[in-house]
Amino acid sequence: MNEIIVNETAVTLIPSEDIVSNKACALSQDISKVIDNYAQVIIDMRFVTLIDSTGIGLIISAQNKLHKRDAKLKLTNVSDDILTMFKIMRLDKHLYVN
Amino acid sequence: MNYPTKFTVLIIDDKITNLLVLGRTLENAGYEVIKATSGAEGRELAAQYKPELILLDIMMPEEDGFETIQKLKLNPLTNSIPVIFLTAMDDVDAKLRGFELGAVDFIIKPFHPAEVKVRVKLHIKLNIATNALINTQREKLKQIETAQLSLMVQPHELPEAKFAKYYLALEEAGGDFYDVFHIADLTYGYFLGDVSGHDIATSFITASVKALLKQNCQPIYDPCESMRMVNEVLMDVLPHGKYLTATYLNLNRRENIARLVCMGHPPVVYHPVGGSPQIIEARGDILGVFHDVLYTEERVNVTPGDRFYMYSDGLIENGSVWSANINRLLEVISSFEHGSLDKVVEHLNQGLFPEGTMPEDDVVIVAVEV
Repeated sequence: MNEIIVNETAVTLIPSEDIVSNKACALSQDISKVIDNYAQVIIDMRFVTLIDSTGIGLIISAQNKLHKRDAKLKLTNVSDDILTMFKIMRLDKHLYVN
Repeated sequence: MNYPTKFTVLIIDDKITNLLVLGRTLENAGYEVIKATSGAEGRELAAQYKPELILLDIMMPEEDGFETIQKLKLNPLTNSIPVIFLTAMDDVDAKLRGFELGAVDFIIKPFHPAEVKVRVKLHIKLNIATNALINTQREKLKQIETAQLSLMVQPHELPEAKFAKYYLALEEAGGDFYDVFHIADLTYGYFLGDVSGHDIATSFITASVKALLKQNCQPIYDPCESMRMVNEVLMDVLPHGKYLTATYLNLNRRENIARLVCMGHPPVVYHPVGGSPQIIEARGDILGVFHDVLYTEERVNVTPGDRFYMYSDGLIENGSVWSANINRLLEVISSFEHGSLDKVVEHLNQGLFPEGTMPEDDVVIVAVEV
């Protein structure tokens, strides 16, 4: 169950588990619910230790949708290993990651 | 597909009278009947005879019907056999629990022989139709897998490219692929890519990328230019949310120069003759998503006998992101002798997946010798 915290301009999604193909469906639905309504979408990755290509595809897709309407996607509390992977993929140059 | 002329029904009920009445009803209707008086015996017979249908009593001593169906569904030999519950309970909660555990129907006691026959016939027919559909889909996916494999050049078809490969797709429509192609005199291109996801669309993308490589990996373009052009086309071709990570090696054996480009892919390992294996550090954008991409070329002056290892993330993902396991890969490569390329690829796979362990994703390894 993903936690969703809303304020006036931003929404924070906190996935409760890894973002991998067999578990990403709920997060995908939660992103769809909020993606058109906020200037900033934050995905708090504090409970995520593994993300696979489907999960990254989900994040890229969200980033592209938000970018089209000048909204922002932020990934926070990203683990060191995932951050290293994102840097090799240069994803840190296209979306805000910390 | 051939179907048996006589269908088998397994009845699991601790009451002998029920076994006799139901057994006779079904035998008279032309079914082969197997009987068990407990859940444990029933599960054993189900695994042994694989009946077309199981009639399972809920109220039994020791192991009740709910426990039996749970165990049947956990066993690959029995998990696809439809189960109809026999019960004197006509309460909704019990029915819901039964359906949640995988039952296809209920027959309420006392039995009416005509109802039993109709329900058994219906569910056997439904199961045959479902299996036929699954087999058709499996056949179609097999054709895609065969087509995908035929697109990948085999080492013996291009011996002068001096490469060996290992390819394991966990599903019929795998997302990993490689290509090896001639660019110029004594110069070959080696491309290993991973399309995100595992679906039919993925397998079609691999064919498109192969065509793009042929068009764009020409001697007049440097490797980064080639990959930028491939990226531009993929931007228009890939479905929403799809992307590729890949690594591209351009190896000129006349000048002994290797040029590598990384597109968000796990790093290539370079193993010089007489030296230690090392990571070629490179960063680059993934393919097919962003217009403003940056690719940088890593050049390595090589000598004959040096080796490069390109691989997909499935080789080092093993329960954590691949970036956490690169050192393990170097350890495995360091640990084996400088044998033939084929042997080395085999050892690499065995080293990372010892007996009894299985990769969680597709795995492709391409080893290249200068």
